[in-house]
Amino acid sequence: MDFTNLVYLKVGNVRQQATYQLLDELQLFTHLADYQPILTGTVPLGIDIDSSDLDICCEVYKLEQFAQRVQKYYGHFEEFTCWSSTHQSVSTITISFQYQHWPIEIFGQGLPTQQQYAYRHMLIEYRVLDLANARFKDKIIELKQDGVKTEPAFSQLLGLPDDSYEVLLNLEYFSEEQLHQLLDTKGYLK
Amino acid sequence: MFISPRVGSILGLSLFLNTAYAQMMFPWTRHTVDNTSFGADGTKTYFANQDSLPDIISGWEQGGITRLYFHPGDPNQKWPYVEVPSLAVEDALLADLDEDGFPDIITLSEGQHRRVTIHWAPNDWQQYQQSPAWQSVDIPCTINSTQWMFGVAHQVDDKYGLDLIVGSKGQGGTLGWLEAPANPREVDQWQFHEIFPAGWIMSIEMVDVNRDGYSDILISDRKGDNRGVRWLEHPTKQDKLRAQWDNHIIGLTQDEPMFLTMATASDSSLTDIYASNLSDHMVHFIPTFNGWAQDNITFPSEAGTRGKSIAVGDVNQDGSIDLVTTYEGADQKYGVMLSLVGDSGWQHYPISDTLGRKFDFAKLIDLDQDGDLDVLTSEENNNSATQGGLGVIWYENPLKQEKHP
Repeated sequence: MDFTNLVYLKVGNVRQQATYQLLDELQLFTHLADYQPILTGTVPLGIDIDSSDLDICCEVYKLEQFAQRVQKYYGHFEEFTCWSSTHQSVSTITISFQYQHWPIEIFGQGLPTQQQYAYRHMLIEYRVLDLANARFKDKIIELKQDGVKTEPAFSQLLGLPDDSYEVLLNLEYFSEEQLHQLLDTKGYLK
Repeated sequence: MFISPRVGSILGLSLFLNTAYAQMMFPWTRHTVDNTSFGADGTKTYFANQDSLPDIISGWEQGGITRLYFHPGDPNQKWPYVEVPSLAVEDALLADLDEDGFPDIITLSEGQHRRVTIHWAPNDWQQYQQSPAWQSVDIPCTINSTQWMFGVAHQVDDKYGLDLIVGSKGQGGTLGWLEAPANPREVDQWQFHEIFPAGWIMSIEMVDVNRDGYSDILISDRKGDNRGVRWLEHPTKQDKLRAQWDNHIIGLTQDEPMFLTMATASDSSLTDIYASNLSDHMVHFIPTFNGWAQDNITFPSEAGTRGKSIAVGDVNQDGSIDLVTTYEGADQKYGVMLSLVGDSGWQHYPISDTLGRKFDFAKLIDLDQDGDLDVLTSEENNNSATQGGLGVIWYENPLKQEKHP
């Protein structure tokens, strides 16, 4: 699965199709093309709930310049906010706003997007979901509806130790067979 | 051929699901959004107002108007609309050209009224649904130059507001872009740049075909020396944008391609293309290292005689791609069909009944918000200016019945 080609949303589930249209209306991926944007989070995986936002991660080295660009195109939208912090020991910028009641969060960091946690988590979760049965997916959605965040939900069901954001990344090194085995022991193998 | 037990069980399950789905109600229930004018000529959707529900825009060619329909919440209720004048309209779309937060309407006209017109929206939601509050202005450089057929809004030059990519037919047929000026309301400042000469543009889609980070233009052109499905390569450099773009042939150059659409295969990072040919078959183009492989899918015999459009999605939610096709020449035949793939090839089922003669493009969208994809389309009764067709319609997918809260 190549999450960098958004056409997958066009033939995806109902919410993915709506997302494709919404991103097109906003021209988000055109306006931010220089920052290698990737849609991450739960919508690409089809495990989103009503309150899920659209997460977009970008490769950003000049945070202020990036903020100005996003502000220029989307600053007039409701609940536009922008803040900076440190993540993965790297300076980051997070910008959020609402479009048609859809919360959108743009995350910029001085790392290639495919090395950022959001993207790496999504890839692992995709691999797990691909091997897991429908009950696993249903349980993830159920946990999310109960307020559990995505990564802790995966960790919980897979019986991984705490600090799920870091621990989940360990699964990057798991072969298909090992993931297969992990799911099998938990009763979630397809 | 050996089929492993696992693959066999998947195929068996797929066949069972398809059979079970096929036993559900066919044809699907048809709902009418509007049938009160003449020549409904295609439908597009947009989140126009602030309710996060998809709204519909449709030009009525013989009626000389364009209507933007606002989703009423329950799609079986009357759809309120705003109406703008648009003689001989062939395509209508929405885009916030002046970036004031209120999407504007753009219409493209052919016949004796050849022009691209911007209908500026009032910047007040109270006024947004009031037709007199809209202001229609033609873009001077488009007037009488050619018969405008199809358009999309897109940021081409990364400068000012959205630009428009537009295509036409007949004398002076062209594909090009209208460059938005600093103040888009100064319509005499919009400039047209030809990207490629054309015969009769049917579809324009934006997609990064070569994965270089820039959106290319995918088109179907049904007439003339340059007919076929092809893509125009974004030049990437600003100083090359205003010259013609490199073009790449995909196929159907000896045929008559109608509307096209795109999809991805889960094991590929490239984009597949599906196009309807006018006669006989539709085509699935698959990108390969050496160009494009082509898989022809014969039209169902029960369908109308002329292919029109193809939409792709997982309609029955079995994990595989399904095809929804529309047709012209559908007198006493089916104008909208569903094709599901099974181990014995494509199986075809009528979505529509046999009413209607000339259907336009289909869009898969969950209009009733029940979690499955319905089919939005329009039917124009062979361009009749005196007898209305089915108009702007949608067919309700019977897969799920429960409405979202």
